[in-house]
Amino acid sequence: MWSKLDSMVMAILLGLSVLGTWWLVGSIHEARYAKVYVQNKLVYTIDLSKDAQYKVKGLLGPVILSVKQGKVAVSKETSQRHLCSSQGYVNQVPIVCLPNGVLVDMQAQNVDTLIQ
Amino acid sequence: MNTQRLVLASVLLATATVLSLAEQWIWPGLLIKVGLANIVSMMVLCLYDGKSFLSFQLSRVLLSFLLSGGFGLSLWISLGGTLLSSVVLLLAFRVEGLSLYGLSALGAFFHVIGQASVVLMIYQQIGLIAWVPIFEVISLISSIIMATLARRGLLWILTNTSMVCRRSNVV
Repeated sequence: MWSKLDSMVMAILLGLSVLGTWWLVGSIHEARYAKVYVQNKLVYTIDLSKDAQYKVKGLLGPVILSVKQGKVAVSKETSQRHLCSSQGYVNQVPIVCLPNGVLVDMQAQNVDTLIQ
Repeated sequence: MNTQRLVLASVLLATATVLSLAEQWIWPGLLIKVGLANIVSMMVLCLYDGKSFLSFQLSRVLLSFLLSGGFGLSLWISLGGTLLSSVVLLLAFRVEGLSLYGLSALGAFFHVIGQASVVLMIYQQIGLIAWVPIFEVISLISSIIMATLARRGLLWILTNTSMVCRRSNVV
């Protein structure tokens, strides 16, 4: 039966998860740039105001990124379940292509440009 | 191990493997799995000793990957989650007052942490685990359902066989 200790464990774990989710939602913003990483190496900083297509070399093959109306999508990739291409066009959340080691991270501003 | 325990262990291993495979077939494109096989894992944790539980967990993962035909990166990610959650479950099982619900929640939570750790070790990229908090919330909710089903299964086994749970107040 459900005990007091179970409730405590559940509350702590749920608290940690909700805090993490809150942090994640708080970091969501309207992106103007997208940084594309392959295995932690920055390969592109994409200006989302310009419609274009980009090709990066993923671990399983080429990954094609399409930019349209301020949003970015993975339009073609090689993977077993095609999870990141099924995500469609996004602007506020990261795109993670785990089998290809590709991360598309959304940025409100191009930090590199600001430093210059 | 007597015959009944051995036969039941085989049946439980087969059930867990089938549940794992069924989940892949039912929701092939889903990013997160509810972990149907954990229903059986919780039952094994209660009925068998720690060594048997660990063997069961490893066999379950290896068998489901062998039958689904994919010994790729996902195997290591899955093994990472299973190993960490199994160790946590074995330690937590010693804590009096923690029932199947608390154990299931801990198992689900550390399974995600284990998987995320393997992803981090392989890719060295923190952004890849951005979705972990949301996965944690979903896995905690599903862990309650899994624990409820595991409890029903355990009660059936304890009533209809001579098997006993290693701790009395778990169910």
